[in-house]
Amino acid sequence: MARLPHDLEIAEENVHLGSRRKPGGGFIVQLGSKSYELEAGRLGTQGFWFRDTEGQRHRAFAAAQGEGMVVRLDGRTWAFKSAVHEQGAGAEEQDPSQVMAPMTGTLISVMVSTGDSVHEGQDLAVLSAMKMEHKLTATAAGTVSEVLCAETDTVDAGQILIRLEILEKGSDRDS
Amino acid sequence: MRQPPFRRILVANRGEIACRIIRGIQELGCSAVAVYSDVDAEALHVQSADDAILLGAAPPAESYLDIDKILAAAKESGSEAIHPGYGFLSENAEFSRAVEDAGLVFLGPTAKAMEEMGGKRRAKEIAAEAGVPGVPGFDGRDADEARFKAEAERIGYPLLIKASAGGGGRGMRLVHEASDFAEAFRAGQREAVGAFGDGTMILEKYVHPSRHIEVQIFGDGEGGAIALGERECSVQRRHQKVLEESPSPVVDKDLRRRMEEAAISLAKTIRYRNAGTVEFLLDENQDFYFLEANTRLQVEHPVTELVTGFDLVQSQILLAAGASLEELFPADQREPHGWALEARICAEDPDRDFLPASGLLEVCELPQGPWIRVDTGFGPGSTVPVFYDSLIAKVIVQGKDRDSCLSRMEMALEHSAWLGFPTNVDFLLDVIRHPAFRAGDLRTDFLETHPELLNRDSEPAPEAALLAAALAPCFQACSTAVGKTSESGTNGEAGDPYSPWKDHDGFRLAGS
Repeated sequence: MARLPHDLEIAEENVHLGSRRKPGGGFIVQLGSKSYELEAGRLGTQGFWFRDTEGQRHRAFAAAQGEGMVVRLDGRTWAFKSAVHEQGAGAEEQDPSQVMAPMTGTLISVMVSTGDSVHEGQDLAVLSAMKMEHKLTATAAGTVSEVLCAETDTVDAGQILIRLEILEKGSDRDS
Repeated sequence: MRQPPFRRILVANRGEIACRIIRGIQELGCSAVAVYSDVDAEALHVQSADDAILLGAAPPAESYLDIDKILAAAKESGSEAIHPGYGFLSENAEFSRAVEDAGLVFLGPTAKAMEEMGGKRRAKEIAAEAGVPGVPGFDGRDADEARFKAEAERIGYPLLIKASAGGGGRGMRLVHEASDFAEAFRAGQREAVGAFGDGTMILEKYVHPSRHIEVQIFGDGEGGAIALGERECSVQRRHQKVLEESPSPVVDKDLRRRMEEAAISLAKTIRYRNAGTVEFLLDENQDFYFLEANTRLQVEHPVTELVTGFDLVQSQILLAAGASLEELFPADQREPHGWALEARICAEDPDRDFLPASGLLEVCELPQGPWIRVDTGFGPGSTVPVFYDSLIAKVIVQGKDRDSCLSRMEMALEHSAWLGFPTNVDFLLDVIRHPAFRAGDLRTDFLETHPELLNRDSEPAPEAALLAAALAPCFQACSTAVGKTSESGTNGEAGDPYSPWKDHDGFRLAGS
């Protein structure tokens, strides 16, 4: 089983999490600078319960997911990014100059070459996984500076496939 | 106890459907043989079968789609019959023929029926012969792309491009305007070739708003056929069904009788054999159009099983062994009783356009309780490989009426957990709680007309979720895949309430 991260990115801040069993019973839980004393216990073989600071009892399951972790609390799922490995899942949506594979799969088409200029929303490549096709599109206008993949390649989730040189905002208005 | 219909039956599939079929086989007193690709060596279907044979590498073409390897496995294991499940080779006429040519029993329709009904084009002609109206479309087998484009203009937009051989939305594209046609056509065709090895395409007018209602049929191959009511499968994403139920909230006895008659007429026209499904679009005037026929057991067959009490998998086997339709499905027992609702649990991310996910299923807490059935192909510690379908489990609930199913499903999903990669469970809960779904106001464009289900605001996590995240490591050490860390040093701690779990895990390690 994958190790759970101890530092999560929450509301754009890094929060350190800690917990330990108290000798006399109960648990000490640390959320950043705050510390709580809680009652908790195992729930079935895979989950646990705890009583929050208001006295409310919750059912929870947790697992590592990608670089971060995922918690299922009272029938709702919450995914957290790890603060330590921010480059993985976190960066892909923000940096339009790196086109990453959103999932593990096989490339069935690469539609651009180095030097091509692309507009926002233009299709760059088509990835196939689980028998479905997914298009990778440019999230900003620019020029293809590097193509790091080829058709029929099998690629991993998060792998950089194409690099773009992004046009400055506004400079594409006349083109 | 009756004589087992066959000694050994091979299941040419994987995942939840292989597990479900294996159980049906074993309950009849037969032994079940699984086949698997190398990434599935530890899969649940391999573990639950009485014997298992490695086919080859993970890509379907080298394993689950390789007819020669499957026949060799049947021979090697001494199997007398083959059940194809759904997907993979289940609707491949060549496979059905090859199985029978090898002297084995194919637990499904004849190759001829597949060719006639499985191909959407021919199926429409047969439907017309049987007096069942179809949706306007175009089906020129040898036509080139330009001809398809011209026919698209004639039919008018929006229209659907579909793979003639296909099902499950593979190769299907919805096109709203002419300028998108060429690209959609090529992409759909490429997907069809990849999924079915056949790039024959058809066009179809997009009828909406409409409901997707399908009728379960069984034929005896000699011109006899019966129907077991309908399933409502209107809620779909990317043309794949998400939630299915039986009966439909809008099908009354009269409409059911008319739809069943149409489906039976179709089945009799081609002397259909074994289980099949006839799909219809139902419009707001309660007029229905033939959509396509699926010449196999459907993913959603359990809802029919639960409202009729018939085990469809066992019926497929017994029918092939010579039982009559009347023995299997006595005429006075075919009316549906109560209600059943199925939710498909998929490894996919609804917040990212249902992008398929894969990986280690670290936590797998299956729902349980009265009137809850779970058909699953994965358990805690299972790996969901990238090569196959994203369906990991089906949760099916049963009740006296629709409302009891809705609350039962809500509880079932709330109390379950599939963690390790994104799943659609929260999305399913949102759909079930949606007023339009609760009201039974279902359309095939349900998600398009209720976009709030797809574009969920990313709420900040409640503090309790953070507390849970922080507490998790204290409990994780004792959970599923632990074994690796030796905890023997702490096992002896008197008063440690968790030590029994650690012992337990040591046992699990040895057993896994």
